[in-house]
Amino acid sequence: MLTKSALEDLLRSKNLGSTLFTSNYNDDPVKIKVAPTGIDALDAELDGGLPRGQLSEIVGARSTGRMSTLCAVLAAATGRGELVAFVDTLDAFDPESAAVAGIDLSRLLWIRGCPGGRDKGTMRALDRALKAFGLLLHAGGFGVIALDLSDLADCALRRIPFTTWMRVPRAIEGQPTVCVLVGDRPIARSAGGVTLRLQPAGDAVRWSGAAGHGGLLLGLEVAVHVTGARRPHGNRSCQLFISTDAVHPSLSSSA
Amino acid sequence: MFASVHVPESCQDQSSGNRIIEDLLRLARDFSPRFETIDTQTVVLDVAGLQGMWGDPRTIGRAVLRVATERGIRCRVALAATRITAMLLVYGRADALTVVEPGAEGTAVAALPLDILERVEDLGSNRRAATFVQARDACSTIPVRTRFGRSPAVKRYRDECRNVSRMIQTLRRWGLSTLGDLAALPRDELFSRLGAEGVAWQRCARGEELRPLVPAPEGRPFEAALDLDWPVEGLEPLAYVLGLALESLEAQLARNDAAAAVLIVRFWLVTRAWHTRTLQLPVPIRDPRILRTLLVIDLESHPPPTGIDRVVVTAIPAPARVVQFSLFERATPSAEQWAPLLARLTALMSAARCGTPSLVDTHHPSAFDVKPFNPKRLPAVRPQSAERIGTVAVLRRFRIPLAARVTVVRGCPVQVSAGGGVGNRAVERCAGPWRSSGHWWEPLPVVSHQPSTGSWSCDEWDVALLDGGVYRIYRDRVHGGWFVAGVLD
Repeated sequence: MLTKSALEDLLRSKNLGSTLFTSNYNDDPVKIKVAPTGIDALDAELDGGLPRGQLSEIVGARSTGRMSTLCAVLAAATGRGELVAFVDTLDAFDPESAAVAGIDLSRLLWIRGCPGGRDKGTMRALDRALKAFGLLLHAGGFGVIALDLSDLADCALRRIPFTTWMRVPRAIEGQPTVCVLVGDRPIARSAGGVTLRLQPAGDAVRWSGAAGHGGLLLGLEVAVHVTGARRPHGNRSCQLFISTDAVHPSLSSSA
Repeated sequence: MFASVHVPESCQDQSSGNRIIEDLLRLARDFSPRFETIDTQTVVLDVAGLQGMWGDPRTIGRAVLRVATERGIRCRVALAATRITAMLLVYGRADALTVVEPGAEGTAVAALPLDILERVEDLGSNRRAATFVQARDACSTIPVRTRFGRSPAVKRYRDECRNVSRMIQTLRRWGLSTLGDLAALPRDELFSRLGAEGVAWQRCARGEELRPLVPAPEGRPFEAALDLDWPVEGLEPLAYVLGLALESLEAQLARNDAAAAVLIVRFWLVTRAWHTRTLQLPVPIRDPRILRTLLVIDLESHPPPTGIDRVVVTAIPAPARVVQFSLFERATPSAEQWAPLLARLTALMSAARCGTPSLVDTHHPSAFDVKPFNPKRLPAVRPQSAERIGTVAVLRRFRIPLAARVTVVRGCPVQVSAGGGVGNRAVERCAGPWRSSGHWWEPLPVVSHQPSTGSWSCDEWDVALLDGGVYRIYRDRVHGGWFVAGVLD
């Protein structure tokens, strides 16, 4: 009869070590490749960045910095010269603020879904987005592939077959691709992936000056809780300040 | 080094007709992929680089002569460093083989008579016949009269012949009889009397090149056709048939070191009609599997209406790509690998919804453009881009702004009610307004809540609602009304 360690050794010898749910995160640090997020505090909590070849997720309510965190990940990837892809299910991506956030737009493949939200066309948009997501995963060549499932109704998300989230880790296993889901609540994560749960922290919204006409929005204060099945030090959390410099309109404009 | 092969009129049979040029083309093709058809009796080959295979230029000339003799072609061959020298020698000297050392071109042609320039087609722009077909057509159309008189082409041809004859008569009146006499004239003086044309004649007389060799395009189209025993219906059997045709096409392209820039597939239907699809490829591609994938993706969107009796696939060729990789850039998949992915995404989402976002030169808050994704034309990575990365809030836009009901007290919004998950909430705090306007010289947009085109003018506010959401709302000053532009996320 095989002991547990012998079984694990056997699986590792057959290149099936990634299927070990209990494998130590620091067993072989060389083999675990990560993609830095570009946010120092978050990278410190993630032991370097988001794991490559795994499905991770960024979840939180509106105005908790989900898209800002994703844009930081995309910006860091394009800054390294990688190609990135973003499946925008509800066509909510703003190229202008993304460019200010540091994304090299020429390295971004943007798949635009149909605008809308909690209406009849949502399921169709979701189906197309999942198909496009699958095509991107199987094509390879991207450093980061992100799928935006924010603002989708619960009933629409529940209709996604569960096998979808089992196929995704298989498709990117062994590839240097970081796969990221963005949503309102946890959706799916592979065994080696992480969940970044974002929540408002302290004074969630920072302002300057007096209320009313004299005030100015400075940014958002959020707390990030990092969860992962293979994390050696358990779950961690950190605080981020998300500046709104990028989205402030000019005080006077003319074209 | 160029080799000119010419069949003099004395060596032609009455019945040979068009066969001479076909034999010459076959002969040229056997020695070099780069050759140019000068007229119906002359072909110039680029033999540079053949020394390693055949030996010195004289050996190459002998080999050409030997092969021509074996095929029953009685011709003259001249080799020189310039194309024009080889042509003049083969026209003017009766020797079967003439070889000129590099640098001695002017001396070699100096003794040739001045009349020989009449045969150089470069001295008359419209007399050039690049291919056999053009030469044959030109010869056949010249004597033809139209019902309205002589055709413009015939007139132009005759005018040029007249100009060349007039130029030669002028030079003869000056006492010149050979090309050496013309070459010895001072160039400035010649230019002042005969202009640029005179200088071109002199360069020709000195054996200097007037233009580079223009290789003749392949006469045969790259085409593969399959006649089917019974009509094919459905994409799956059609994909198999297309694969067979594309493999044949790939062999043709590979022989010519070419790739398909445009693929034209035509289906002869059982209804006796053609169904044609044209595929513009992102880069020249030769791989039959990729071409078949792209064709099948296209046919999924535009299937033939009925069964197919015959399949004809034609490729418009382009030089095969030579890819130079860089040690300093991240390796990315090849364009051939990207093409099927982009074709599938385009078929799924449409071309306008799949590409690279780009900013446009305007202050409009929601203006952007989408360009085709081309990973092979990427700029180098900017080192400073890593420094710019930080935690910066990004606006998550409602592409169609949400109409909202906003209660305003003392100029500030205090209550916002809208769809799209915003709900009816009290405003915790707000900042604004920031007035934005532009394109006032253009007509007003028809739809008030979609101000992506035409003039706009709005007051924008950042509002934090009691549920924790921070939204960008604006009041349309042109049409009136409040809208939610997006949420800071």
